[in-house]
Amino acid sequence: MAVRAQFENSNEVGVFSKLTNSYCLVAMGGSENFYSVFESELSDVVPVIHISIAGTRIIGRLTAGNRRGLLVPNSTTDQELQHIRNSLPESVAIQRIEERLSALGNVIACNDYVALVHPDLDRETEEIIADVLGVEVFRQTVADNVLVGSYCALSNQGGLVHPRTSVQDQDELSSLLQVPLVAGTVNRGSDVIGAGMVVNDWSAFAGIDTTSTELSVVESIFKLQDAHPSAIVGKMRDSLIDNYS
Amino acid sequence: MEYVPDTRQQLILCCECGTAIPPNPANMCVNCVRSIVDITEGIPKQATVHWCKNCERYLQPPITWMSCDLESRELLALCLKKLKGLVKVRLVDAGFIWTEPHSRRIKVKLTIQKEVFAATILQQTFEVEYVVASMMCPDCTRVMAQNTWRAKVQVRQKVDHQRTFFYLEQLILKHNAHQETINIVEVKGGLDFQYAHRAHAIKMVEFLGSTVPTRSKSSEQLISSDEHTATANFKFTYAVELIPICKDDLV
Repeated sequence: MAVRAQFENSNEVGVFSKLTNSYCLVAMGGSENFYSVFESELSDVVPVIHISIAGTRIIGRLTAGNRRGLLVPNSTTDQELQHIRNSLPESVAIQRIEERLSALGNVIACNDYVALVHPDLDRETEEIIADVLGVEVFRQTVADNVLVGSYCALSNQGGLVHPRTSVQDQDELSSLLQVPLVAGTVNRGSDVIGAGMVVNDWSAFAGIDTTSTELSVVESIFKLQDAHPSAIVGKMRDSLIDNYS
Repeated sequence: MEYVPDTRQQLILCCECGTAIPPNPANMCVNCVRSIVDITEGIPKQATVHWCKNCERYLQPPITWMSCDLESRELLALCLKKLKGLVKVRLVDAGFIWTEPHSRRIKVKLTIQKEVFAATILQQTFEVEYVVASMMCPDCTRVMAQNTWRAKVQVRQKVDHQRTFFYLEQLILKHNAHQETINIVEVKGGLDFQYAHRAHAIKMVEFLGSTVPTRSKSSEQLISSDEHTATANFKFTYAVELIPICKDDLV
């Protein structure tokens, strides 16, 4: 179900929240309306956790994660890290990364199987990502822009990329990520997709200015039409339950 | 195997109406952008142009009257100057649309470009209608009111035979000193030169003084005065008397 929300009159939902299949992080200090939108969709299934990173509220752009793990930048304080550790489910691993490009949400775009990273990311960071998140890592650009996390939104069912991504790039990315991709906009023509919305396998949240055309594109590419939490037990079980290794 | 580049134009959906469009900075189709933003906002769509019926000249504010043909370049410049909002946008094209001359309307078609949404330039064509209002220009008013001249030079010589006068006439013709004269009236004893401006009359008086010995007196007649602006309209008269002796006279 794609839903519209706003954080303190800002459409950029992806800046103030992070959504995965096993948890949802939201920034502190917003109005209760914002939280109630998330909790009405998610609270039965995944925990909705209020956090801050380095005392800031832009947690969506500073962190990267999927259902297996969460990566936080080196500016995260120990108390914040401890709070996150206490609140997240046991199955989720947390790692603080020393990385020059510390806005992890801008440089990493990932789902539960693959991750796209900034071409200049450190090798150690790449290995940590592959390790903690359990994904295959590809260094790529989106629409000739290195900030892959900002310009595309990714889930296990599909992906939405910057509107100026050429057909060739879309085909290439689609074959790397093994999901269908579409180029589009959110928040009434804004091309910063990753900051404008958050998505997981059964729900998506976009800014309040998102037009119904854009919302229908989101629902179709991420296959959200009939998705509600009970559906995950049947169809999307694999994406939520760990492999029996 | 040859590499054939994929040149398919990739399309996105317009965020307002959902039609497929190539991506642009606003990510909306042209019609949606036009319906939201109107770049012709500050520009008046109707204006007035003043025209004198007598001499068929158009008023170019504040005081110049210009004669130009219908659908001429000067008229176009005049019309465009009337539109205040035109300085803020970039004018690409301007032209006339034919109107019936008796309808007293002039239609101008304009194409302007303006920047909207930062990095998108929108171009729009629209029409402005000018109503031609008739207004009498000050020169025609003066003619109508028989208030034709503002300054007069009365040249007299009190003598029976006016040899100097004939000589003066030839001199004037030779030096073209009669250029700005509106009218020349012949009276008993001399000539009256009528001028539109006081400066021209003074120039004639100086010229006369340089050729023959003269005695001159000036006077003014009040036509109208405006107390609020403290201005007044006068008729200036310069009486120039030529010396009564001529060449070959016995003194």
